Amino acid sequence: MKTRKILALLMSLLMVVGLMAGCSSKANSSSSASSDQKYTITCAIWDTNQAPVMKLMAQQFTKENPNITVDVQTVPWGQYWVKLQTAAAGGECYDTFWMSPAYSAQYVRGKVMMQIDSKIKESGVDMSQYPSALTAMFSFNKKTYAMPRDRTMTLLYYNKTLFDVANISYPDETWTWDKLVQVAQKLTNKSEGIYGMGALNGGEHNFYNTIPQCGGYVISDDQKKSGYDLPATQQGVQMWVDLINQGISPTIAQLTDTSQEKMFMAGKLAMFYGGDYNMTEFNNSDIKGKYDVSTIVIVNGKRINDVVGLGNAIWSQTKYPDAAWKWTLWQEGKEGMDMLSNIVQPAYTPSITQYMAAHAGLNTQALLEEAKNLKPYPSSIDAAKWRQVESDQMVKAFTGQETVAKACNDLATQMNQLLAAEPSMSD
Amino acid sequence: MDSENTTSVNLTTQRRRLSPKKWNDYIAAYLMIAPLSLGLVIFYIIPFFQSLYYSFTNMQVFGPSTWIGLANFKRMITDQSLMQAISNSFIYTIISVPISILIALVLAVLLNVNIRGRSIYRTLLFLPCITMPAAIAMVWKWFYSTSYGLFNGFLHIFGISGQAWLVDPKIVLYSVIVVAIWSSVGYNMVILLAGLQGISPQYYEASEIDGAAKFKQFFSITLPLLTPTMFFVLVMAIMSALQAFDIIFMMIPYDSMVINNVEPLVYIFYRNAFVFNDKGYASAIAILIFVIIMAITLLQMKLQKKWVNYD
Repeated sequence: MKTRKILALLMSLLMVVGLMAGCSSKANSSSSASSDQKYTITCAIWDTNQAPVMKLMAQQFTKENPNITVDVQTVPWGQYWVKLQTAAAGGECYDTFWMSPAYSAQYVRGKVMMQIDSKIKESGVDMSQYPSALTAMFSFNKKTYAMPRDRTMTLLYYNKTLFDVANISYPDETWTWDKLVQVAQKLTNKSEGIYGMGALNGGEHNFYNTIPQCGGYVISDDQKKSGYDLPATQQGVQMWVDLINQGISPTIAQLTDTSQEKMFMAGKLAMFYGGDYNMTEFNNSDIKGKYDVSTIVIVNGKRINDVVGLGNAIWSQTKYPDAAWKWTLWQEGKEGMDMLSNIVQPAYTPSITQYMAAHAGLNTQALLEEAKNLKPYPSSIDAAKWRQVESDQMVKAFTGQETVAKACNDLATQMNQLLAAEPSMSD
Repeated sequence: MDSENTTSVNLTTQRRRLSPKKWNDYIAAYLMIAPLSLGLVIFYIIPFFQSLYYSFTNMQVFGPSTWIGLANFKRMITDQSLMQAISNSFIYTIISVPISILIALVLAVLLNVNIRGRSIYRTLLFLPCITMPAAIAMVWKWFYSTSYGLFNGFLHIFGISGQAWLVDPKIVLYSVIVVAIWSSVGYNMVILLAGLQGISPQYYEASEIDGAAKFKQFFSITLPLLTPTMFFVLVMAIMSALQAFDIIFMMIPYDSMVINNVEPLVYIFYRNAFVFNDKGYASAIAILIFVIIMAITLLQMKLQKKWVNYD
C-alpha cells in the first residue's frame, strides 16, 4: 500500500515538472550584455516563402559577427499579429521582427518598437538611399521606429500564352485603363472559364492605386478624415466594379473560392494586379516562363503606385539592443539587401540592380518606372476597425448589393466615427 | 469499512482527532489532486475572473485600460453581427446535435451486434474524432470548392450544376453543419456503445421469453436504460456545439464575404479580440457565452428528472 502511494506521488510530481518544463519556451543562452559573449537573438517573420533566404542571411551575418547567432522564426501571417501582441504584452517579445505599415502606428503607440534615430545617426546610415514614401510609414512625429526593408509595388501580371493565342501585343508603359479594358474584353472567354482582368474587393494592389490616380484619397494625411465620400475616390472604386459588371472579371464569390493567383497560375485569368512578391510563387509553378509583368496602367494621365513595404523593427525592451541593431544594420546594408534582392524588391535603392538581375527574363524595368511616383499605404492607429468596415462595404459594392456611391458614403460616415474615437499618438 | 470503526475505541469518544492513518490518507489524497487542481486554478479559474474584470473595461491591444462599467454589455444589445452570431450558433446547435446523436444511436445499436469485422467499423467511424481539425478543414474545403471540388465534380457528371457551398450566404452555415455532424458522430457513438454494453442481457432474455419483437425491445428496454448515457452525450454535445470554432475558422477565413452568415459565438469573440483588437468587448462576449452555456446546462439538469431513468 505504502509503495503504491509513494509511486503515485512520484508520478504526479513528475507530471507537474514535465508540465512546467513544457510551458517555458524561451531558451536564451546569456543574460549579461558584454560584447565578447555569445548571443542568440530572435527574428520573427511571417512569409514561409522567404524563410530559406532569411536563414541564409542569418548564417552569412554570423560568419561576419561570430558572437551573434540569429534565430529566424516563421509565424504564418494568420497568427503573426496575435502572437506578436501577446508576446509584447507578456513581456517576452522577439528581439527583432517584421513590421507592417498597417500596424506600425498601433505598435508605436504601444511602445513596442524601439526608436532608432540615435542609432541611425551613430552608424552614419544614409537615409536618402531609401525612398521617403517607405520611411514615412514607420516614422511618427519626426521619430523613426523601424527601417524599411522592402518595397512591394503593384504590377500588372499578364499571361503571355493567352496573349499569343489571341495575337494581341503585350502590355507596356503606354497602356491606359481604357486600353486595358478593351484588351481584357477580347481575352475573356466565358465558355472556357477564362477572364480578362481580375477585380478584387480589397484595396491593397487594387483600388488603393486607382483612388489617388483619380484624384481622391482613402484617408487624409492627418489621419482624421475619410476620403470615401469624395466623388473622385468613388470613381477609383467604380472602375473595378465595372469590370465585374461587364463580365470581364470573375465575381467576388468565385474569387473567394479560388484566389486570383490560383486562377492566374491555372491559366484562367489573363491579367491581374498583383504584388511583386507573387513572382516567387509563380516561378515555382507551372506558369513559370509563361507570364510577364508590366507597369500598372495610366489613369487620368497619372501613374501612382501605392507602395507597401515591411520594416525591420527592434523590440523596445530587448535585452540585446546592440546585437539587434547590428543585425538590423547588416540587413539594411548593401550585402544584406543584395541577398534579399533574390526574393523581394529591396528598399535600398542601390540594390535594385541586383533585384533586376535576379529576375532576368521578366520585365523588371517596369519597377524603375513605377518607383518614380510612390504613395505610402493608408493607415492609422486603430486601422483594423475601419478596415473591417471598408471590407464589408466593399463586398456590398462589388457584389452589386449596393451602388458604389451608397456603399462608399456609408463607409465614410462610419470611418469618420471610428477615426474620431481613435486615441492620439502621445497618450 | 466496519473494521475501521472497531479498531480504535478512541474514535467514538474523540471524534475530532483523526487517527494517524486517516491523516496520512487525507494528505496523500490532497497531494494527488494538487497538480490537477493547481492547473485548474491557474489556467481556468483565475483567467475566468480576469476575463470578467476585462469585460468591464475598454482594453485594447496595448496600454492601460479604463473601467467603463456596463458599457460593453449595453453595446452587445445593439450589435447586429453579434445577434447574427448568436442566431448562427443556435441554428448550428439545434440542427447538428440531434442529428448527430440520432445517427450515433443507430450506429451504436447496429454495431452492438456481434457481426464480422465490427471493430473495423467502429474504428473507421471513430477516426474523424481523432483526426486533426486542420486536416478535416483542408479536406472538406476541397470537397466544397465551387470550381474544383469533389462534390460539384460529382454533380457535374449527372449534369446538375454545382452549388457555391462555402461562398453562398444562404447555404454556407449548413455546409459547415454537415462537417460538424460528420466529425462528432464517432465520438457520440462510442459513448453510446459503452452505455449499451452496460445494459444487462437479462432484460432482453426475459423479454424474449415474453415474446417481444426486436423493435419493442428497442423502445421498451434499450432506450429507457440508455437515457443516462444519452443525457451525458446530449449535455456534452450541446456544450461543444456552442463552442465550435476551430474547423469553421480554418474553412472560412475572417475576411470571407460570407463571414457574417456563418460565424458562431466563439468566432465573433476571436474577431473582436484579435482582428479588431477590442479585447474589452471581446471579454464581454466571452462572459456572454459562459452565461448562455451555463443557463442551458442548468436547464438540462433540471429537466433530467423528467426523462432520465436512473434505476
